[in-house]
This record gives sequence, structure tokens and C-alpha cells, in this order.
Amino acid sequence: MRRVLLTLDGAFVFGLGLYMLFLSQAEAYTAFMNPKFRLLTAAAAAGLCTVGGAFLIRPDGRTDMLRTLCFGVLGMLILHAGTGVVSSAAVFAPAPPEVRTHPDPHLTRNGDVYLKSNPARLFLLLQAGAALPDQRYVTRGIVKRSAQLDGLGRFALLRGNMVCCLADVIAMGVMVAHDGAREFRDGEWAMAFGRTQATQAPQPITDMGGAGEAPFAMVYDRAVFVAEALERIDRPRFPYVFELPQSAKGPARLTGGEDDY
Amino acid sequence: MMPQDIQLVARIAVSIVLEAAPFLLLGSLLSAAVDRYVDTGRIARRIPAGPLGRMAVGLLGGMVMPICECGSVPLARRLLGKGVPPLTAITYMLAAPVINPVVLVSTYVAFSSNFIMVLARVLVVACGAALTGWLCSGRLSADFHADSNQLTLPPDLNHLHLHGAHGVPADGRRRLMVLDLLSSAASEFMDMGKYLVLGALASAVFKVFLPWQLVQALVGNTALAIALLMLLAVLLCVCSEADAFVAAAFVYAPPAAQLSFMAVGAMVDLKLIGMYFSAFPKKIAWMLIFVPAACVFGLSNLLSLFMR
Repeated sequence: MRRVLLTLDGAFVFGLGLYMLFLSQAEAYTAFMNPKFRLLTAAAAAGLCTVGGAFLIRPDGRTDMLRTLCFGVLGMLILHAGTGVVSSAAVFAPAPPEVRTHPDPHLTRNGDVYLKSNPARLFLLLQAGAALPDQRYVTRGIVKRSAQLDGLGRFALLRGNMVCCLADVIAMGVMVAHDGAREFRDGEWAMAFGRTQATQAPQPITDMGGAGEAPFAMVYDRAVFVAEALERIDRPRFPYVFELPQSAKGPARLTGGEDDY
Repeated sequence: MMPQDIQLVARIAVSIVLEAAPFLLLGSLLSAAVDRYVDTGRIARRIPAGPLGRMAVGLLGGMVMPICECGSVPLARRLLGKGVPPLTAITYMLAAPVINPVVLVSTYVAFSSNFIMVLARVLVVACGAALTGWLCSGRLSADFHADSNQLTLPPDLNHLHLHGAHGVPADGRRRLMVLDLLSSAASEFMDMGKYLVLGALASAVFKVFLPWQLVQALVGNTALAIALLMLLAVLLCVCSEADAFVAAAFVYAPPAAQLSFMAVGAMVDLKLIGMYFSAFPKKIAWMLIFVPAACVFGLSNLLSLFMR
């Protein structure tokens, strides 16, 4: 029994290392972690394989049923976790999608030029006072409705923003005002074209809950996104973004930036 | 409960483990290395004799040896076992995850170059860590002198030993030493990792099923918001390198509540609570939970008078 437990312990550590190594090279990594940590995860994976291998060869003498059980539970969680919202045939293809290209940051519609910006980046720009009122933006996100927002004739357009891992994802975004705002349902994905406009007083929205896979959502309360046009869109392949304040120069951008706004 | 909720719980729990594993492994490797290669008393001799000096070494240790909260627990208990004064080791364990260059810069960036917030975070964490270190040191010293195994160091990690290495040539002995080092690091990783897994699972359940509307509605009142965000920090287990960005996103909460979220989360959260009970005697573990929490709550309320 003791030998079995020790072998299981070593196998769990080694297996965790293998899983992390595999995941660090796959698209599915972005469903768990900010891709900027791929190298760290891969290095830790190599380390876990090494110490796990050493443990298998020359196990530490102690056994602990609880720790073996806990790592067994972790194995079950890994098997059950899947890849979440990042789903495609190539999800485990060893091709990290965050290619650092420089796609055109603008989009032209009916002759007007819009700057691409996801709702989380808009939130951070507005918070830092760096969103220009005359600038036209195009932004894509998940629609969130609530009683408070309905009362204002608006909906929130949000995008899950991941700093380190899925545990810290917060759906961040802006309130969208448009005549057709009421036609959009909770959970739909939409693309909005328009400008930001400061509100006279803060309008905190405190009845939203979460949005999509982010259990917690936050909408910027001192400005509104006045939409010139709204379009329903399919959910992007990578629903999360990886924005940090002042990081416009280099957040991890998936698929060359096409999934980034 | 929907199947997708259960899957989300699983994925959040796995993501917390993925995030913490590198730091826990680093702490386990450092701990095993300290156990095998650091001369007992050598570190202790270099640490000042006075309490202020010991505190200062603990507080500034993170600037030299930065480590995340998951890695700091195994390292601190090993340092204790090697004769480092409890005041220094406990203070280091609680302060290092915050008072280090990476976290200070991330706080500065998250709060749009708000240096006051960085200073406030350092102040609150330093006070919490030093006070806890000081309060724990008397009790831990007594326990330690009575029986060093009170620190629940695994007995087979407490001394350098090579099973069946007698009569093995020098090269073979070195190989065995390396194998033993790695093997005990793996063992340490699992000892602490079990609490990481349990904490991550509990945290994921809270994250998915917590009534967030209630949180959003309650953060308007300063004292309530401080208590609420502290509780959230304990439940959510956000890494100290990322928590500033999460705190900054709580735009409806007063700055003092954002501060309390960042300060307490690095010292007390679900996964750390398990680790404390595993690594230290029960009374010390309770102190490691309640003293920093009380200190952060008091100081955050005090600072709320100046932070608008």
C-alpha cells in the first residue's frame, strides 16, 4: 500500500508537469492563463517533471493519504475542466495564437474611421482619463442587461479581462446608449460603433452580477458609450482579453489582434 | 447548479493551481536546498540580535529574495528549522509576497501611477507582518526550543541522509544527493500542494456561486466595503502579483477598501490557511490568520480618513 501511494504521488507530480507542459504550448492555455506566462508555466512544468521523476526513482519515505487524494482530485478537475470557451478543432494544436503582429488598429465603416478597442481597454482608458471624446471607437463584447441599466435605456458591453489566470477575470466594459439598445438580449455578443461621453455624475450599476464566464462584472460609471450603430456578432474565438492599465504598447494579442477588440 | 457552472469551477480551480505551481515549486526547491546545503546557525548568526533589526531583515528580505505567498510558507518553515529567529522568518513569510519589486511595480501600474497607494500597501503589510512576527515569535521560540519538530517539519526532511549511500563512490553519492534533494522538493510540493488544491477548489466555488450583486451593492459604505473586500480577498485567492489589478477594477469601492483587498490577500487566503495549519502549531496558525486581518482592517479604516 505504502509503495502504491508513493508511486501515485510521484506519478501525480510528473503528470501535472506533463499537463502543464502540454497546455503551455496549446491554444487552450488562454482559457486558463494569460499567455504571457507560457514560458513560466513551461519552466515550472519541466521542474515538476524533474522532481516528480526523482520522486519516482527515489521516493521520500513518508506517505500521506490526504495529499494523494488531493492530487487525485486535481487530476479529476483537470479532466473535467476541458477548454471552456476556447473551442475549436485546433484547440490543443501546438501553435500559440498570440502572434505579435501589428494589424491595422482602425476599421472603416461608411467612410468613418473607428479605432479598435475592446470594452476592457475602453474601461481602463476612461478610468485613466485617456479616452478622447472626439475619437470614434469600435468595440465588441458580451451584452449584459440589468434593471438599473434598463431604467437608463442602456446595456453594458463587457469583455472578460484576465490579468494572471481565470480566477482573476473580471468582465469590464462600458454602458452603451442607443435607440435599439433594448433589442439586444443578455448574453448576446455585439459590436458597437460610437464615441464615449462623460456623464455629469457617476452612475454606479450595482445589480449586474457576472457576464459570460466571468462571475463578476464592472462597468465604468462616469461615462457612456454613445453608439452610432450596433451589430450582433458571433462570439469571438478567444473571448478573453489581457489588458493592463498603460499596457497599450504590448498586451498579449491573440490571432494577431483580430480577436483583441 | 448547471453543468457549465461545475466545469467553470473546475477550470478556475485548475487555473489557480497553474498560477501558483511555479512559485510553490520554487519555494519547495529553495526549502529543500536550505535544508541540505545551508549550515545551521550560519544564517542566524548574520541576523541582528535586536528585535528591530530582525524585523527589518524580515521586511526587506523580499527585496532580495522575492517569492509569492505559496512559496514563502515552505521556505519560512525551513528557515525556522535552520535557526532563523521566528520574528524574522514570520515577518519575511508575510511581507515578502508584497514587499518585493515585482508586486510594488504592479501596484503602481494598476493604480495608474498612484504612489500613495503603493506606499499605503507597503505600510499596511509591513505593520501586519511585523506585528504578527513579533506576537508569534515568543510562542514559536518557546515551542521551537522545546521541540524543533513542533514546526511539523517532516522528520525525514530534518536531516541530511542518504539511504543506502554508505560505500557508494563520490560521484554516485553526489547523484544520490541530487536525487534526494529533488525528491524531498517533490514531497514538500505535495505537502503544501494539497492545501493549494483544496483552497483553489473552495475559492472557485465561491467565485462562481457568490451573489456578486450583493457585493456590488454593499461596497458604498467604507467600513463595510473594507470588511467585504477583505473577505473577498480571503475567498478568491488571487495571487499577490495580480491582486492590484483586480482591486483597481473595484471602481465603486473606496480606495481604503481596495487597499485592504491587496493587503490581506497576500497574507491570508483559503489556500494559505491550510498551509499555515500544516506548517505551524495550531495557535500560531490562528495568529497568522487573525493578527494580519485585524491589523489590515484597523489600518485601512484609519487610512480611509486620508484616502479619497
